[in-house]
Amino acid sequence: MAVVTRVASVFRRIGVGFSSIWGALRGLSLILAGAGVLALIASGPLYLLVPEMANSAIVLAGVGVFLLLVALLTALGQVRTALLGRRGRYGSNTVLMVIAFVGVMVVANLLGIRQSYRMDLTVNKEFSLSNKTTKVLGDLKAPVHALAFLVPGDPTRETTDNLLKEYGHRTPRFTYEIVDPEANPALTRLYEVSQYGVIVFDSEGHRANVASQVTVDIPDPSTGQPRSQVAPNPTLEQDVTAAILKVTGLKQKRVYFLVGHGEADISDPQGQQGYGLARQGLVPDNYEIFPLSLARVERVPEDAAALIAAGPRQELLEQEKPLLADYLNKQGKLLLLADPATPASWSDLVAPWGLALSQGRLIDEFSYARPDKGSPLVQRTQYLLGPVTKSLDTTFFPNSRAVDITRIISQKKPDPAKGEVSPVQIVDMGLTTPASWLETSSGEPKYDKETDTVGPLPLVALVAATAPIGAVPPPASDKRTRIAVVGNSAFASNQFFYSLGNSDLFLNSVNWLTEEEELISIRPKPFAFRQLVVTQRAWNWIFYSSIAFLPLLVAVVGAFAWWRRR
Amino acid sequence: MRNTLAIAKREIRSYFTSPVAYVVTAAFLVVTGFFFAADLQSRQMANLRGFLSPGSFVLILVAPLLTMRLFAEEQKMGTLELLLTNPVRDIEVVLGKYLASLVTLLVMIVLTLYYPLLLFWFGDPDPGPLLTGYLGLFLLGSALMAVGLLASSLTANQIVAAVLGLGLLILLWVVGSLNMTGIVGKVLDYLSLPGHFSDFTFGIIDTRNVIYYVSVAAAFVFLTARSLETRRWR
Repeated sequence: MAVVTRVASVFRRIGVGFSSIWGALRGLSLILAGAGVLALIASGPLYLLVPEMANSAIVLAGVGVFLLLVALLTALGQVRTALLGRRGRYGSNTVLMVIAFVGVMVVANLLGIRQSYRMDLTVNKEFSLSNKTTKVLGDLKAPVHALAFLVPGDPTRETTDNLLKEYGHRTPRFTYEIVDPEANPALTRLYEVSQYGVIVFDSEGHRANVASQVTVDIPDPSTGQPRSQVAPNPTLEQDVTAAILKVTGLKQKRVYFLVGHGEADISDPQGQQGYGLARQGLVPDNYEIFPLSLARVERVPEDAAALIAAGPRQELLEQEKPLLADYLNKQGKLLLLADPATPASWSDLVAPWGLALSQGRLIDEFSYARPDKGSPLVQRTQYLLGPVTKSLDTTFFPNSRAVDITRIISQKKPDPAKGEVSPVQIVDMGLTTPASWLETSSGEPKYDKETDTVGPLPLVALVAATAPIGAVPPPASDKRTRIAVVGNSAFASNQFFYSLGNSDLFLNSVNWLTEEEELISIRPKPFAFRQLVVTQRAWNWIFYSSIAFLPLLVAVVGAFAWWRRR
Repeated sequence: MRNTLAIAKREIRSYFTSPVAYVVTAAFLVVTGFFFAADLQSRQMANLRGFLSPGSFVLILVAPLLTMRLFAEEQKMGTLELLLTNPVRDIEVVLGKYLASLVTLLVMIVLTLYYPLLLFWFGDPDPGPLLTGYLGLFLLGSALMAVGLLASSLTANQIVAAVLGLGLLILLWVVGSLNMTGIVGKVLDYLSLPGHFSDFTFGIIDTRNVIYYVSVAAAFVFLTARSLETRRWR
């Protein structure tokens, strides 16, 4: 009997103990809850930042959950009031609203990421990819991966990252990563990178390198001595696109400038008559540009996407004539920029195709680049607005001759019923105004009805032909010979290249010749490196006024406002 | 709408009669003026990047100072209840005060137009990046002001509000430099305040960046309205 009582009292004491523990726990419930929340919060970052302790983090999270559960159970009554009481309902209502709102924001941002638009407001459109790059990326079939080996402090890191990011936006087949060469020596050695700022392009094992930076000399403001500084590679986009073409096995189109007849020099970017700027203008369209001396070769190179004769002054050599004639007969592409001084053999070259170079200087009394009437100005409305000239701005041509297209116009009319089509067709053209004429006498230009032909006269003519004039066109072929003739070469010389629409006429004509019409556009004109070069006094003014002038003004206005309030 | 404007007007007036706005603006101008001139002298390039990049960071120090007063003072003086029980709606109060803070931000930013003026005077800068730089600065500022607004609504003590706001902003500022990988890394990078700013300094308007700043501003204004609401049944 006593045993039963004893056992019962032990149980009773345990029960009392339990309930007092329980009571104690209830008081601690807040602390337990706090500890639980802390444990959970700590476990998150621990798991993410210290991977070696991932297991401990999970255990910590588990402990946190356990503590929270205990807190919940011991304070069940309070929890119930909190959740379901009036305040509780308001509270959960608010939480739901917040979650909903944040959810809407998240969705808006996700949609924004998926369908984003970028506007590039820089004058040079530095951050938009060129038409050529867009085309190359659109046509990209093989995957290309780029590794930019740039240390974190590299000044060209941001521009390189921005550019490659743009490439990645255009096609999922282009991927890139920025690699710190100092933190990844193995990778650096694997790709044989030995300098700063190298970008390696890799497509299925084929590799090409591009430099992300160049060194320039700028004058040091304090000493005046030139100082070497690292600057971003100004032709980075062209180089990157060229590298992509190279590693995917696609060839760049080759454009050859003829030499040996007194043509303008494409390696001269500074002299007024040089063609260096015209050559540089072709680079963004990813052309490979070479001079070609016909006297030294057996035939025009197979890979010639276009030939350019920039203002020849001397006759073609006998042995050169059949080379060119042959090239043109086989769907060749020629841009002939002929001045009044260009000799007759060049006119003979294009004669089979219905084109000729008129004798005399073109004078336009109505539309000319002041003060010289011998520099006809051709406005938009004077162009046929075909594929090459459709968006062209005004162009002008100092010292030019006309292009004779009468033979093309007077071709035998084709019979559409028989499916006939003229072998030579005018694709695009630019004319002078009716107040123009071909001046054949020297001295003061004056219209002489006897000897001078009156305008409007063609200055620019672009033709596409399936066969020479009078020949039988081959059956249904879409291969064409394309010839563009301009009665002037100075318009694209260094002196005038970036004036008005001159550069666009030149570049678009080459695009058309190489059958890359999608590159035809009005290109933004480059400006000089926007450097600020001022005197020392000016620097002082800039410095002190920036720091002192405005703040003083604000302080004065503030003092005034405060004084007024008193 | 009319109530919002009335509240905004009242708030703007009290901004410009208190010394805080002037002192903060003057200090902002001194610091950014220094960054602008020093960067110009060293890189000699006619653009605003030397001002915009450090300027954006200085802005996160300035925003809590400009917004700390908005709700904290009303709470301290006990006038908040009065404002909230009026026929004026909660959201109108919040928007009115937010609008006032934006006007102050605008005044501060407009004063810095002196720097691009100098650039045009002495050189030939590209106007596009200047325009987008200011747009970005204003968008960033609006987001920062909204965060400060929320901080101010959470306490009656202005100092606490400023510190809280600063803490939140610093958190949002550095969250992108943790260099974490995977999906978490991408989310954190996206949430980073300065990450969406640099495009604007280069002359690019990207809709993603605009959406980001507008969302942050909207979210914090919304949270402020909710935090005020909880006062009703606290």
